[in-house]
Formats: sequence, structure tokens, C-alpha cells
Amino acid sequence: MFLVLEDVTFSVKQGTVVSLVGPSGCGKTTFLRIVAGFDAGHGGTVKVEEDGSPDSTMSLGSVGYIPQEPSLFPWCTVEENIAFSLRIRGIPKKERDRRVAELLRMVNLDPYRKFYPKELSGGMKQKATICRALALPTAHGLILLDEPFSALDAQTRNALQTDLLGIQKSENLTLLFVTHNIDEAVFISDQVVILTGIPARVKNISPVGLPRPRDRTSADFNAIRREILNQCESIPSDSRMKLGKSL
Amino acid sequence: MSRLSPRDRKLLVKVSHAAIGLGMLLGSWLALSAIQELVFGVMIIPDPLTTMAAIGPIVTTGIHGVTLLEHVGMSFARVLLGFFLALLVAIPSGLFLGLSNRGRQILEPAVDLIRPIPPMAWVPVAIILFGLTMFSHAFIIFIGAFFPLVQNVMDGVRRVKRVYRDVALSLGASRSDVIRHVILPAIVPNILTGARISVGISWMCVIAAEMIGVSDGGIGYFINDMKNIGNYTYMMAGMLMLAIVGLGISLLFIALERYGIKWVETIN
Repeated sequence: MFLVLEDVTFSVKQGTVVSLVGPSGCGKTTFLRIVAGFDAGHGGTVKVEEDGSPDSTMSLGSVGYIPQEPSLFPWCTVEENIAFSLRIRGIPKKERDRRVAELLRMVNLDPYRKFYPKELSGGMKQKATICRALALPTAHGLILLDEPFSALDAQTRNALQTDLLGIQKSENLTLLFVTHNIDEAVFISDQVVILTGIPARVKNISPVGLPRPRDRTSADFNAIRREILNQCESIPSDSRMKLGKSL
Repeated sequence: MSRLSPRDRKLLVKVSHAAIGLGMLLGSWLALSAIQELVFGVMIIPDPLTTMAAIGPIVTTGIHGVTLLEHVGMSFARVLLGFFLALLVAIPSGLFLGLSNRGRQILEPAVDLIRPIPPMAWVPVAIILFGLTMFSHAFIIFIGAFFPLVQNVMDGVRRVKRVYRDVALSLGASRSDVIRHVILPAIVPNILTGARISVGISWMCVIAAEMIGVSDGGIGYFINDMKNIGNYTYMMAGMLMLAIVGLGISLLFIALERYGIKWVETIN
């Protein structure tokens, strides 16, 4: 048996943003897939606690999941993609249209509702993907995002981080966000969970107590970023994450 | 003089190129019939103009009381019957083979064994089973059309990106929802490709079957009959009619691909 995750234990408060950083191939995606309900064959537990009483209702289809690769259905228009979960659950068309219009307005995509994914830019595609995950309320407002902005240019990525935080606030979402980019993790998160190399364990949980909107050039922002970077760099070099531009 | 827009100029270039190609074909045909008349002293293969002029009378009055369009109609009905039967069986079979590893492991060797048998080798079986009826043709066409369709559907299902299924499941889709709302729309381009190949094979099968006497009508029968009575002009006119029907079918598929699956990313 190949052990990928050994001790990845941490709590996520409802309505907060938690980022997960760690070396490439340390099992971040595997962890996210377990939380999403895709992989059941694991030894741990994913618990959702409400009002102090344990509640294990989290299952496949109950939380939002945004994978790393482009995942908009190419045969559906933007509005058809967003309405997917509403359609398969038999929500009446009038109600579907209302919710889709609301989401499109929120991310300024209403002029593109009839466009196919091939006609959209990378940033627009990710906005539509986020809207699709939000169309129906998820369990405890939990959305899992697996490096959603990694393929985008820096300018678009920064803009989408701000948009995502706006959506998180207005819809009172709980975000569990996998990223390689320390700057991104500090900008969006309430806490950053640092994982070791494989088999992954939690190395440290760093709270980010800065007020929002955050200024990437401020001394406090860079102090937290440096601290997380130092922790990442102390992971043995053979399993250390590729820091890339985030250095 | 008004200037042409880039789009119109592109269209004009495209039409000019097509006209050059068609002109070369007609020129070669003309030259071939002139050369054989010069060498053998008799025109066995008629020139293009004589052939085109012959289409009029055989379309309106026909030969032996049957018009060319009626022969085309007979062949077309046989193709439609065999092809739609193949489509009806191939789509669920391809879905099953694409989705089930065990099913594929069990059935693929049998499919691979039957596939290399040419459809025309099934003619004796078809006659024994169905006699000289429309169903004999449909059976031969079914054999010819089924395998490209099932292969394309199976390949299409296996190539649907896993991420689409995962996302659909995460959005609350059941397994049957995934088949209906993800797999089926994703493989429409594969079904169209398979259908295009299958329709071509279906026409080959029906013409060959009609020529070897599995019927007393149809465009293949007509061409062979005209050859037997030595009317080569009508024989060539029948072949020209086949080309026109084939072109019509190609245009239908081009339209289906352009408007039915406009979401597909193409490489230009």
C-alpha cells in the first residue's frame, strides 16, 4: 500500500477561507477529492460539526468542487453550464433562469451567457466554473478549489482572487483552497495549512489576521508571506514545493 | 468598383479552386472519351455533355417503365433501413463497451473476429435468411455500417475526460445523469464521424448487392442493367447520379457538423 496522507488533521470554520500549500505531489488533490467524496477508501474521517453535534452528512454531490483542469462542459453554453445542477435536480426553468441570471450578474458575465467555453478567455471560464459550483447551495457553503487560477496570467489571477473573495463574502461561503502560490494563499486566506512532503502531514497552520482588502505591498503582508516561505523551504529539498514566482 | 470584403474574397478563392478541380475532372473525362474514340473508333465511354444530357430523359420517362429517381429511391430506402438499424444497435453497444471494462474484455475479441469479414461476404447468408427482399439489403448494410459506428462510439466514450464525469458527480448527478447529460452529448462528434463513414459504406454495400442481383431494382441494378444491354450513356448517367447523391449526403454531414456541433474546437 502506498501511503499518501499520514496525518492531515485540521478544522475549517464555516464562512472562512483556508489554503492548503505543500510540495508538488504531496497529496493535496487526493485530500481534496476525499473531502469531496470521490475517494472513499481511506482511513480517516471528514467530520462536519454543527452546533457542537457531529454530523457526517458530507458526501459526493453535497459540496462544490472546482478541479485544476478546465472543466466547463464544452457542449453547453455558459448559462447551460451554470444551470447544470439545477436542471438535473428538476428545478423549474423559471427558477433556474433567475438563479443563473443572478450568478452571471455577480461575476459580470451576463453578456456572455450564450457563449460556448471555447469562445471565452481563461479568466471568464474560471468565473463561469465558480458560478456553476455555486448554483445550488452546498453543505455548509463549502467549496473546494484545486489550484483554480494556476493557468492564468498574474493580472487575471489577482483580479479573480478579489472577485472570489467578493463572492465568498456575499454568499457566506467556506473555501478550502489548494494553491502553489504563497502570495495567493496569504491574499485570500484566513489560515494557511502547510503540508510536508509525501506522506503528507500538517507541518504548520498559519493564521493570516490581516484586514481586508489586503495590500500585497504592505510590510505585514510580506512578513507573513516570508514566514510561510521559510516554513516551506525547511521541507527537505527532494519533496519541497516548486516555489516558482511565489518566491 | 466596389471592393470585396475579406470574407467574400475568401469565398471567391474557395469557389475558384473548386471550379479548377471540377474543370480538371471534366477535362480528363473529355480527353479520355476522345482518346478511346480515336484509338478504338467507337465511343464506349460517352463524353460529359452526352452523359449529362442523358439524365433528363431517364429521370422523366425512365427505362422499362421505371425512372432513374425511382431506382435511386429504392436504393435510398434500403440504405436508410440498414443504416438506422445499425445506428439503433451501435449507439447502446458502443456505450456499453466504452463504459464497461469487463464487457469490452468479453466482447471485443468476438467483434474483432467478425469485423474483418467484408459485408459482401454476407450476401449468401442474407439471401438464405431473408430471400430476395429489402431485408437482405438491410442486413448487408447493417453489417457494413455497424462496425465503424460502434468503434467510434466506444472510442468516444473512452476519451470523455474524467474531469467532466467528476464535476457532474460533484454537482449531484447520478450515474444515469452522467450518461445522459455528459457522455452522450460529449460523443456526438464521434457519432457523426462514425455515421459519415457508415453511410459511405452503406452506399457501397447497396450498390454492390444490387449489381450482383440481390434485387430487380435500385441504382446499382440500373447501372448493371444498362451495361448488359450496351447502353453506356445511361450507365454513365446512373454513375453520375450516384455522385450527385453522394455529394448531397456529404453536404448534409457538413451542415450537421457546422450547426449541430458548433461547440467543438477545430484546428484551422
